[in-house]
Amino acid sequence: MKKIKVLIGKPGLDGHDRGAKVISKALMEVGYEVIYTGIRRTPEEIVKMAIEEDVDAVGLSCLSGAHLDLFKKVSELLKEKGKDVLLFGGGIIPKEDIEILKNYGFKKIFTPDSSIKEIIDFLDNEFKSKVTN
Amino acid sequence: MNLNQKSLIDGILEGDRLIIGKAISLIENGEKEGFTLLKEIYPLKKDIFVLGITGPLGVGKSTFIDKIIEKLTDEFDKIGVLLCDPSSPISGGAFLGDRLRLKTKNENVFIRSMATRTFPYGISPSLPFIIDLFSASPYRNIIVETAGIGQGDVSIKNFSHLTLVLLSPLLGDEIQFLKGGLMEISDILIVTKGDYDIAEPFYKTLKNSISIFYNDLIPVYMISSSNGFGIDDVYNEIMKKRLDLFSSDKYLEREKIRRLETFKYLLKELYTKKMIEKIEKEGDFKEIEEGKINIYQKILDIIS
Ligand code: B12
Ligand SMILES: Nc1nc2c(ncn2[C@@H]2O[C@H](COP(=O)(O)OP(=O)(O)O)[C@@H](O)[C@H]2O)c(=O)[nH]1
Ligand SMILES: [Mg+2]
Repeated sequence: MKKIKVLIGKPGLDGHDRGAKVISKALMEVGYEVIYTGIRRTPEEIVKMAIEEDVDAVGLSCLSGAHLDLFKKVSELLKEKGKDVLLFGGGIIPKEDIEILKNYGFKKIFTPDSSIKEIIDFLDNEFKSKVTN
Repeated sequence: MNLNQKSLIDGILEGDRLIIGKAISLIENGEKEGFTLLKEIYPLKKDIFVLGITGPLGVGKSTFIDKIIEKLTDEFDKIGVLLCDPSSPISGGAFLGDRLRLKTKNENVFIRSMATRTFPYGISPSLPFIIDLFSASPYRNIIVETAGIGQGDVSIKNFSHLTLVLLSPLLGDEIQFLKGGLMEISDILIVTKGDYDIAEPFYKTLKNSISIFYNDLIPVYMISSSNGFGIDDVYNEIMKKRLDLFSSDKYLEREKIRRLETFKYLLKELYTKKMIEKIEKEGDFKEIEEGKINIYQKILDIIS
């Protein structure tokens, strides 16, 4: 039976991990297999994990303001290594940056005013057809 | 990506990270393609060494692996790490958190987390097959971490060549561990969190009990992954036992057990599932629900 696997990653030096943990736990509770990277990972480490774990999606979390560089790097490395995944993310991210991140390949970005339900609905919708029993 | 069987096999033999990652998923998801692949690589297997690391939840298994991984990568070219964590029996999902303790950035280490998918024995039900997969890859020194286990979860023993049982001094007296199962599977016993004051007395009583009940046959160590105490000693003991295994009949004896147990798992995993599907298709489930079939007669018909 296929399970949808999601990597929740914390790139860079940002230590705010509540959001990432809350999301990881919420996704577990609705049936996803979640791998949490822990804080202070390099984009290279996150991409290695995504490949080894063969995840279907990578969600990055950043509250420190360094999202543009870090998210871009992760997206580039994934492409370079041939790992095809759904990219999404969240954190303290200004509106004007969201469009830029979308251009980097991030399907959707969630900010503190997003509810957990919105995030779950987004993933459920993306993977509806992939889950078989 | 479209991977044909041939490039899958080549990728595994060469140690291609992306391909091994995908191949594990095929097996984990119970897809026929995965077992066809295993069939193809079965003749290409080479000797593998599996170090099983087990013990209750929170005792320090992942943190200990983080510490010995650096030493192992100095000794061996490639290391595989398989981390089992429990699935939620309610949602079927899982929060796989072992990986966050492993800080290594070494490209020669391949790490994979595996949910137990509600398999009850502290390991993922596909662990035995994934070990066979690794036997054909360059990753032939493998560390397996079980999910947190209790007494009686001894499955890991059947699939590892050396089993380390970790015990925490915070869990109380040693008597409960002497009772059920865990002692019988340990090749090395390790008391963790030696930086706590209560560790030393726990270690001493445990060592004493082992000398009384097991004639000192199981080596006992105390370690601290926080300050590094005892890690070198455990590492040396592992290497000593590993050498002893390969230079005697012991390795072959363990391999015999592993092969047979792996086959039994195949039967349980695949054959049972197939039977259930078949019976369901024949429409018997409905009749069973309604009490129209004598289930004991049914099973006697099947096994006779
Ligand atoms: C709690 C907190 C802390 C705690 C962190 C505890 C912890 N372990 O997480 C402590 C006190 C340690 C802390 C420290 C600092 N903090 Co602080 N902190 C906050 C605070 C008040 C709340 C963050 C939080 O936990 N929210 C609750 C969680 C659930 O929400 P969330 O993470 O935002 O997640 C939601 C969404 O963003 C989204 N999301 C987030 N990640 C992801 C990932 C994915 C995949 C998805 C789908 C969605 C998603 O979904 C969640 C649900 O809606 C914010 C202010 C704020 N209101 O946001 C400041 C804030 C983030 N901190 C800030 C700063 C500056 C710091 C410090 C640098 C302060 C200092 N000078 O020392 C340090 C840095 C620490 C470090 N090592 O990185 C700034 C960041 C400014 C910026 N980016 O420009 C903020 C915005 C405060 C501010 N207004 O200035 N902080
Ligand atoms: N003080 C101390 N804490 C430790 C030690 N080893 C692990 N821990 C802590 O124990 C907790 C559980 O460790 P973990 O390795 O995840 O345990 P596991 O569930 O057995 O894998 C973590 O908070 C670790 O930091 C140790 O040697 N000393
Ligand atoms: Mg662990």
